[in-house]
Amino acid sequence: MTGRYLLRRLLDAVLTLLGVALVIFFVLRVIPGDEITARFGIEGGALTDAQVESLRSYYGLDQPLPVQFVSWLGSVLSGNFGVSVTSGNPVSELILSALPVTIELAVLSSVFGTALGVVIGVFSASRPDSIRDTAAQGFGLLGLGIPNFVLAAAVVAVLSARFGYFPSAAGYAPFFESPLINLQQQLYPALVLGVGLAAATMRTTRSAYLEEASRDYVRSARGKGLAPRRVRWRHIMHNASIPIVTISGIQFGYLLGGTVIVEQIFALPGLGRLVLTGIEQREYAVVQSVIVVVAAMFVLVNLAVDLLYARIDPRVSLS
Amino acid sequence: MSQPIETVDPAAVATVAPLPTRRGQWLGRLWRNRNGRVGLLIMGVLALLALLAAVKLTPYSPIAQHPDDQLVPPSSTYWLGTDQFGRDVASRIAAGLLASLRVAVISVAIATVLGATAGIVAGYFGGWTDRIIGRLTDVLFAFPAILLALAIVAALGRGWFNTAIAIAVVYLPIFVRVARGPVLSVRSMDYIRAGKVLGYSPPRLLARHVLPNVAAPIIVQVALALSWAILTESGLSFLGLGTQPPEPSLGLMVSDARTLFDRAWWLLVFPSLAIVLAVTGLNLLGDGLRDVLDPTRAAGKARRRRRR
Repeated sequence: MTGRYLLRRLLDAVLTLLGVALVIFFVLRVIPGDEITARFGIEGGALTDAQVESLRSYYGLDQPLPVQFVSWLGSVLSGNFGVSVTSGNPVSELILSALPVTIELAVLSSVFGTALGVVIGVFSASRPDSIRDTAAQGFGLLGLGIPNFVLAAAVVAVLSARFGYFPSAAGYAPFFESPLINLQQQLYPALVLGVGLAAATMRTTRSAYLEEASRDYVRSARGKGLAPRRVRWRHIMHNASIPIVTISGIQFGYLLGGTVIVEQIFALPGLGRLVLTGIEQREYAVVQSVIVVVAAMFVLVNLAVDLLYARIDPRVSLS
Repeated sequence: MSQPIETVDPAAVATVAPLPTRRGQWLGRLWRNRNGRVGLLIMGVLALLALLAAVKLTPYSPIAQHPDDQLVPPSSTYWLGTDQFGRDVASRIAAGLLASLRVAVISVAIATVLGATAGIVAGYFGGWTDRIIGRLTDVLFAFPAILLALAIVAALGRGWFNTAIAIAVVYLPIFVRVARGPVLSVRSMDYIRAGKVLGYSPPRLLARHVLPNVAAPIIVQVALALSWAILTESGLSFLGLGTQPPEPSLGLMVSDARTLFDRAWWLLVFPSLAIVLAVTGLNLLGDGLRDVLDPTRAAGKARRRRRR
């Protein structure tokens, strides 16, 4: 029953997200200092008690924590994420302007990483234990072993030393204003993130391919004289695609939050940078909203991947 | 911290694969596995370097500044050169490795003990216990890993110990899942029922009879967790949230080296290499352990070989 299955999964997702909101709300309340100390800094010490009181009630900080949580949750559900105290902008606006940057980066690096990973994986698995297999496995090992911030730091260091390229957030060009400049700015971070993804995808592709290549239907296909390329892509890869879709889905969801350091290094004004500045300036509203938004997307992506299974593999029944 | 967390598929790994019984036996098998041997060798060398830093046998003190020897390229005096304060890079890398390994070992130890215990309890008792633990795990899983770590470090404050706690919390749910899966099939085994009939207490049954039979996937996961912990620790330090200066840390060294790259390439190259080696060594160790401890994989390999 697809409808009931979907309903149950959605209910599960909502419960999980409620838990996420609860955890993040209380974790951030552990941070010493609040919006007022963040707003006024040391000058906060000069405020009279009455002023502090009125500020606390202005920000709703005088309410008991559960009340604060419920009222925060209520406003989030109606699309009101609060106001960033330092910049004065509504948090929803900040998120809306940062979201496309991160999503674009995630899509670009997923496309790059998956394509590269699948090609190298098939390349390596179609002749196991050959030189090219060893080379491809070396790439996989290295790709997993190089942290993206190390690769990003190296790329920026070389680019700035040789070509005078310095990333800056001020000059970020949104895609729909100047697509070419935008793609130039997104290219390097996407490539850097893509290498790690390609390594993981390559390893998954390789083992899935080898698993399928040893099955009887492949021998039959070869026996009846199909061209090797047709066997490889239409028969083996068709069946090997399930674990590959899984890993790509997991990686895409992961990227939505995992671009933090790369965004920071390449000065892309995405969600990651928003969170980092939020943490530095002790902006509860910003940090908790971004994390809840990212977690929601993460849960939805996972759900979408599960639903995709049934499209790819008719044997999977949704129940 | 770039890479998604790699996990063992509990269903694929040895649902009923007890660890080889004789002590030292699986270490021998690990050594005969190519991945395992290279991983052991790399980690052996790195651990030795960290040990040298721990007993203060590095050529120079990692925080001693030599004002006359700033940005000296690698030479016979300073094997890996010096940084902008004239500090010896080789000694700082050894100390940075120590710092990274310390965070990794502590965080993974916390995550393994708490996570595996929760997973075994959930799988063995089932029912409400399982449902509550499962729900908590789902919630932790819904967080993007690195954002959760960032939020926790932000809440607890900067520093290496808080980084360790953050990494432990992020990795906890993975150990719960890895431990819970195999317990589901082990709990209906005859020897467990026999133990119940003999009147063994649940703690004794779980520790002496369930745990050894579900340990294989947990051990593989420990190696992968250590590798992820080193990635994350160096990443958080890179952002200035982990190990605090002047304490040496690999992530911070990479971060500081960026602007000096055209004058001092060695500042970027060697610490990066140390991180890559540590992560790769642990990944290889994980691969080797999986080959050694996972009979389903070994079977797949044998099948391939027969076919050729």
